[in-house]
Amino acid sequence: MTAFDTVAAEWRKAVTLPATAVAMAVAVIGSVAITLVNSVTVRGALASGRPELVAYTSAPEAFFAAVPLGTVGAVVIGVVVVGSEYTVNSSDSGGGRQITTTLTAAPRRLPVLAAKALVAVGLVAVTAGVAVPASLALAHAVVGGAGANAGAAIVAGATATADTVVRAVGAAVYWALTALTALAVTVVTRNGIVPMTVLIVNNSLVSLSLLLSYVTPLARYLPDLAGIRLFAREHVAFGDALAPLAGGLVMAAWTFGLLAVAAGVLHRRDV
Amino acid sequence: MTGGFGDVVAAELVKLRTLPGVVATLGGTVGAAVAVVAVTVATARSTGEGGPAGVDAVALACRAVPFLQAGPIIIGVLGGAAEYAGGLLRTALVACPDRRAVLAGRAAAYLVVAALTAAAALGAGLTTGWIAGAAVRPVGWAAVQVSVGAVGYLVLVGLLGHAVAVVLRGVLPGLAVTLGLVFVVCPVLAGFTGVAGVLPERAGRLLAGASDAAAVAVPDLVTGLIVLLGWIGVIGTVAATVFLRRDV
Repeated sequence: MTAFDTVAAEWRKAVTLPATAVAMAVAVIGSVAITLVNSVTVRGALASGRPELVAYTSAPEAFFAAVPLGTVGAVVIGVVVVGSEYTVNSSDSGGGRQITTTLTAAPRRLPVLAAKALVAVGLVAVTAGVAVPASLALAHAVVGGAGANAGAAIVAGATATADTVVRAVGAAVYWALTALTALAVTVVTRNGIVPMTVLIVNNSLVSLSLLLSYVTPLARYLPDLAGIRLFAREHVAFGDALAPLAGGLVMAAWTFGLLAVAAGVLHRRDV
Repeated sequence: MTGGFGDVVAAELVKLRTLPGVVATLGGTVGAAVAVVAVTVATARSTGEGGPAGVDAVALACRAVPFLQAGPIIIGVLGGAAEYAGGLLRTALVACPDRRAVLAGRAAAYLVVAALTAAAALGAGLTTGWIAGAAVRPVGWAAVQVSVGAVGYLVLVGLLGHAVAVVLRGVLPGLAVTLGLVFVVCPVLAGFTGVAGVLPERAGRLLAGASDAAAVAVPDLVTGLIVLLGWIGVIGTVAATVFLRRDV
């Protein structure tokens, strides 16, 4: 089986999982819905002449506040791409696990892992390709030109647009790295419960990383906090984050480190 | 199963407590309570707030509740959907064909395990706060109310996950939906909209001693409890209906 065949097979398996469709729908519909709610709230605050009622008044921020919904979708994609291989089938069909069939068809384990990683990134890219433009367009349509934040007021039109594009790409990169982290941890645990719980909880407002950041500045090097500036600017609960590029590189280093561990485990362990 | 409902509950309890994930979750929830209270105390000291001496140990332990929600949710989801993997549910229904008894027995078993887990975690948090120097006041009605409320909230939010898992017939879908709802959707929506008061996590937080009325967005504890029970009632009714009518 060639590398292309392996990727094609993994892609077909992933896209035919119901959980993948649900994860992508949650990421897209959830992001759009939360953006809509946020945008309507911002527009209402601006129309009533009380912008102090909301944390921001710019249209792009209405979407970037909804990024955690997409993160949930990315986590689910990363988990199910690997976790589905380890799910025990019905006793009617032998009670086996798909991973044995997969490794019979493609015995070289590392190309299988690489193909799964590529598929997870591809699925996140497709999701982000729909969710991000749709949410930003919706936010602009609802809030219109009435909103502006402090940052956007300083930088003029084209620069503000460029900043929004950079942050939108950053959000997609954050989702992709989170999906790969979920995938790597699932390879090690052979079960999706741990990565799904830890990653969803830690990407919420009750993040343990955020709590640790109040105790030690080293917490900003944890993957979720390191990468947060890829899309977030001033409206984050964490005030000591790394710069976007540096933070993105730290998060990527965590991700590829975990993938290396996953590769080592998958290569040496009995399935 | 020829015995009564007690046998069904006992059987479900044995199944639940022998799931490795449940045992690990119990330990993890207790460990998380200790860690969160310890970090909270360290934060209070490092930021010059005078340390935990001025804080009641019960209040300190209750600050860990938002972090502990994942524990009962995992137990609830495992209790509701673990049997769908590998078709184990069919064996359970051969042993006890009365689906209403199985459903009620599983819920009862969940309530026992989740209550023990939540009480153990709160107790561990309380002990950690006491060791760290938090004020231990004489046990009064308010402390009892907040402690029972925190345990009750944790059990109820896990019951929500239990019902979701029965509807979705899968551990991972149940976890994704419930964790996403409780940890992401509710906090994100609560900050910007007027619907915060009808969100289950926001409504239930008053039970666990949350004092910020703006953050929890419900006028009083009873309203919050009604809203949370309403969510459980609606999803639980759907879960019961599909469990009784659906092919396994």
